[in-house]
Amino acid sequence: MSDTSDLDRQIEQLKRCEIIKEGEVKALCAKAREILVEESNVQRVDSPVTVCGDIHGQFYDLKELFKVGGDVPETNYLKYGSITVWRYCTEIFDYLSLSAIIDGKIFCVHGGLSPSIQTLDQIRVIDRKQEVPHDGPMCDLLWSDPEDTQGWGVSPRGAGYLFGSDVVAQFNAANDIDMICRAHQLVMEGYKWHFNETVLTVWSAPNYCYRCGNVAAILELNEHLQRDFTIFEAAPQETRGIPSKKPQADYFL
Amino acid sequence: MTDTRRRVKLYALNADRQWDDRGTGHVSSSYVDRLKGISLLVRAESDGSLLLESKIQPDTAYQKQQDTLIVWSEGDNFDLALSFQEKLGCDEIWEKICQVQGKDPSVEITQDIVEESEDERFDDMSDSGPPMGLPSCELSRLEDISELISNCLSSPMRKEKLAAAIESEGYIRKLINLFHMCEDLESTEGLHHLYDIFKNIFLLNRNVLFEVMFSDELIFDVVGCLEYDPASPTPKRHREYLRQQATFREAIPIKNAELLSKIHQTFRVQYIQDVVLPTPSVFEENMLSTLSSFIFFNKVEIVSLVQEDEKFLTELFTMLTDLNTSDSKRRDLVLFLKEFCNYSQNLQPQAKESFYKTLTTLGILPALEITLAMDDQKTKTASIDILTYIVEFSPSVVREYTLQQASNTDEDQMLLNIIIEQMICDTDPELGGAVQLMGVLRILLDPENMLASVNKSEKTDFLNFFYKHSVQILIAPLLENTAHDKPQKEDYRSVQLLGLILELLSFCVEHHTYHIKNCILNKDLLRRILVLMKSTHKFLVLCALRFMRKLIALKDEFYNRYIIKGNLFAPVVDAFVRNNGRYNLLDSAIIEMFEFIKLEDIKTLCSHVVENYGKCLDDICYVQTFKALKLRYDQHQDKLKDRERNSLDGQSEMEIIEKGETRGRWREEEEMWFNEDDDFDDNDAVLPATNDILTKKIDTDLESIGKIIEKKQPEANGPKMNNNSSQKTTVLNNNANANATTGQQTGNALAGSESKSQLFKRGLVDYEGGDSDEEEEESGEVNKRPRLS
Repeated sequence: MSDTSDLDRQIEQLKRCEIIKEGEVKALCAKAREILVEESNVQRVDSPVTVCGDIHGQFYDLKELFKVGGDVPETNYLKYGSITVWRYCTEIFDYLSLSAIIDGKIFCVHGGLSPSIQTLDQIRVIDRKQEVPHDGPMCDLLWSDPEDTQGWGVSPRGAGYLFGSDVVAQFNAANDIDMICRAHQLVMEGYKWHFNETVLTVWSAPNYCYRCGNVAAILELNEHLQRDFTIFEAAPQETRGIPSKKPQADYFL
Repeated sequence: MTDTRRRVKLYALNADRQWDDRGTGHVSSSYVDRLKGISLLVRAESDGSLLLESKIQPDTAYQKQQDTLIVWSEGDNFDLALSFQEKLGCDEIWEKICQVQGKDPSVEITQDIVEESEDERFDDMSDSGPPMGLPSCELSRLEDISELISNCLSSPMRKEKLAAAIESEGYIRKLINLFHMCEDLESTEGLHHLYDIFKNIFLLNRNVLFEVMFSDELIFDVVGCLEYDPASPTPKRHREYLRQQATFREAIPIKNAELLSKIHQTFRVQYIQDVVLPTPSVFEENMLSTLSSFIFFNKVEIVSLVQEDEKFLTELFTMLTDLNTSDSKRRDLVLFLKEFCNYSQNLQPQAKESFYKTLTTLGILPALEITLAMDDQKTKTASIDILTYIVEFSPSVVREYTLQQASNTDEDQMLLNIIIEQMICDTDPELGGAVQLMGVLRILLDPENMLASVNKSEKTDFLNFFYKHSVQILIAPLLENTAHDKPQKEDYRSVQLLGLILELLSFCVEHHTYHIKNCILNKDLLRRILVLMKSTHKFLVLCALRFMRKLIALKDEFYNRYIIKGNLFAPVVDAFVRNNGRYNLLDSAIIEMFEFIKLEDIKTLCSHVVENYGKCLDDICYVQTFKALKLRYDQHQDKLKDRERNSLDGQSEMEIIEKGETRGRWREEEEMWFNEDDDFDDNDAVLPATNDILTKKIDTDLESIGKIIEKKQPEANGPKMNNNSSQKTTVLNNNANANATTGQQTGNALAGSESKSQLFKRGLVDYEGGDSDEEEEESGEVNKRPRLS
C-alpha cells in the first residue's frame, strides 16, 4: 500500500534528519490522531516491552534511544514549519493516552498518583482530549512526584502532589499491581527506585538541556517482566546532522 | 525648528533579549549637578519628559555600531541603545562620550569589557597590557590563526582584544585574500581552517566586524568561507543560492539606494543566520546576540524607510486594488506586503501601532477583501497571513471596519463574510488556510479582547453584526451535512472543516451567552450537530460530543430543557452503545459527560437520563458513574416524596427554598448575570439584581405556577407580579410562553411518572425548572427590575 511505503520513506528521511513536507506532517498528524483516538486512558500493553521516560525533544538523542533500544515503527516531526503545522502537532498531544498498564502489573504514568484516583477505573472517566488542567486527576497523573514521606504533600511545582510510600502501597494493593513506573524527574543515573522498589523513575533525556551531564535510561521488560536497564549517553556531536533549512528564494524586503 | 540631527530612539534590552522602544526624543549631553558629571539626556519629543538621564561614567564601555547606533550597559545587565536619525548627531555624541572618557573618537568601543568570574579575571590580568598581536596572515599560518581564535573564545577579555586586533589590522580583508588563494589552489585544508576561523569570528559577537563582513564587497566571500565545513564531505553552495536562486522581486521599484542595499544585506545576513551558520548550541546562541541585533535594527530601519516614502505605499495600494493589475503583479504586491508586515513584528508597540494605522488608512482591509478571494493560492495564503498579523495586533480595527459595512455593503461582500467564505471553501486537503482563518475568527469573536474603554459598544455591536449577518454562513456546511439522519459527506476535507466549525461554535457557547443560545435554538443546532455522532471519523464524533458538553457545562436550565425536549441524549447514548464498551477516547468522553451531570447534581438532566436511558446505562459497571447517577436520582425521588408529605403536613414552603443548595445556586447565577451583562444590554433585557431570597422564592413560585397554567397563555406579555407571593391565581406570567414548552418537555420526560406530575402541580417544587430570567430574554418582552448593585 502506498500509504505504508510513504510512511517508511518519511521515517527514513527523518532519520537522516531531513525535513519532510508540511503536507506530510499534517497527514501524519491525522493518521496519528486516528490511532490515538482508539487508545484507552490506561492503555493495556503486553510484555515484552521497553519503557522510556522524558526525551524533551532531544531528537538526536531519540535516535540514539532507538539505536540502543531497538527501532519502533513510529514517526516524529521536526519543529520548523508554519503556524498551521504547529497547531496540528500540538493537537496530537491532546490525544495521547494518559497512562499504560503492562500485563496488568506495572502501571506507567508520566508523573504519578492523584488523591482523586484510588482505582484505575477512575481514570477511565477522564476526557483527556483537552489542555492539561491546572488541577484535578489528569493534572496530578501528569505532574505528581514521589517523596520520602507519608500521605500527600504540596508539590513545589505548583501542579500535582507529592505522594508518600503509604499512598503507593495502598494504590498498588487496591489495583493488584506490583509497581508504578514514571518519569518526569531528572535522575543523573538515568533511573531511580523509590519505596522499596514499588516506584521507579526512568529518565531518557541524556545530558538534559545539553548541559546537565546526566546519563539516560530505558527499561526493558521481558515476557516474565524481568527488568533490564539500558543506560545511554547523549548522541555524539558528529552524528548530529544539520537539518537543511529551506529559506524562501524570492524576497521583497 | 526641529533639529533632526539629535533625534534619537532610545532602546532598552529586555529579559527576552529583545530591544524595547523607550521612546523618541532629542539627545543632549550636559553637566548634571545631581549626578555630578557630564550626562546623556534624552527628552521625549512628545511631551518633553526626560526619557534618559545617564551619567557618562569613566569606565562604561560605549560601543558605536553601524554609524548611527550607540550601545552600552548601564549597571549589570541593563543594556541601552541610542539609535540616531543622522550619522552627524551620532558622531557628535560619540565625540562627547570619548572626550569624557579621554578616548580617541576613532575607536568603536571606549573600554575593554571586563566581566566574568574571578578565575577569569585573574587569568585575564596576565594578558592585560599590550594589545594582542596576530600571526601574519599567510597560508602557512592558517592553522595557528584558527587555533588562536578558538582559544580566545573562552575569555571575554581575550575575545575583546582579539576583535580589536582583527579590526585594527584589517584582518578580515587579509583573510578573505587567503580565501581567494585557497579556492584557486583548491586547498581543502586551508578552506577548512578558514571555515573554522570565520565561524569563530561570528562568535566574537562584534558589530564592527560584522559591518566589514556584511559589506557588499565582502559578504559573498564570507559566505564562501562558510561553505567549507570540515564535517561535510562536499562544500555547500550557498553563494550560488544567493546569487542565482534567490531573487529580489520589486513589486514596485525602490529608488532609495540606501534602502535597497539594506534590503539585500538583510536578506543575506538572515540567510547566514538561518542557513549558513550551523545550528548554534545553547551556549553559542547567547554569543550570537549581536548578529540578531544587527538583523533586528536593519529590519526596523527598512520598515521606517519604506514608510517614510509616502508615494511608494500609495502607489502600491492603488495598484493592488486596480482591476487592471495582472494577477501575477498583484501576487507580488501582496507578497511584498506580507514581508512588510512580517518585518513590522520587530517594531515596538508604539511604532507598530502607527505602522498598522498607516496600512489601515491606505486601505489594507478593502484590499484584502479582493486578494483573499483570489484563485491564486500564493496570493490567498499571503493575504491570510497579512490578515492574521492585523487581527493579532488589533482586532478592534477589523471589527470597526466590519461594523461600518453593516449599512453600505452586500452581505457577501462584507470582510467578515469573505473570511468565513474563504474558510469554508479552502481547497487545501489539509485545510491549512481554513485553520488559520478559524483562528482569525476566534480572535475577532473573543469578548476578552473587546476593550470596553476603546469603544463601549464594540462587543454588543460586533456580536449583533456577527449573529445577524454571518453566523448562518458559518453554519451552512454543518446544516447541509446533517440534513438527514447520517452525515452526508465523509471525505476528509469535509469532516476536517466541520471539526473547525464545531470548535468555533463551542467557543461561542462558552463566550457568547445570549446570541448563540438564540442561534442554537432557532436552528435546532444541537440536534443537527449530534447527527455527526454517526460519523465514521472518531475525532468529529468527539467534536460533536464536546459541543454538547460545553452546553451542559453551563448548567443553564434553558439548554437543559432543550436537550430534554429534543431527546438529545439519544444520539450520544446510541454512539455509546455502538462503541460497545471499548475503552477508547469516545468511551471516556461520554462517561465524563454523565460524570459531570452527577458531580454537579444537575437534577433535570439526571432525572431525564435515568428515566429514559437507565435501561441501557444502569448495567454498566466498569465505572461507577451510572450507578451513582441512579443513586442520586433515587435519593432525589425520596426527597421529593418526603417534601410532599411534609407539605401535606402543613410545613412552610419557605423552609424548602431556604435550603442552602438553592441559595448557592442563586448566587452563582447572579454572578453569571453580572459577568455577562454586556451581552444583554443591547436587547433591553434587564437583569435580576437582587439576592433577596424572597425574590428568588417568588420566581420559583411563579415558575411553578407557569407550569400550572401552561398552554393557557401562549402570548402572555403582562408584567410579572413579583411583589406578593400569594398572588398565585392572578398571575400574569411572561414566562408562560417558554414554560409552555417546558411544561411539555417535562411532561414528555416524565411520561409514565404519574406521581411526579402530581408533585409539579402542587407547585412545591424546588426541582430546578429553570431560571426564569433567561426566558425573559427569549420571550422578547422584558420586565424591568431595579439593579441593586
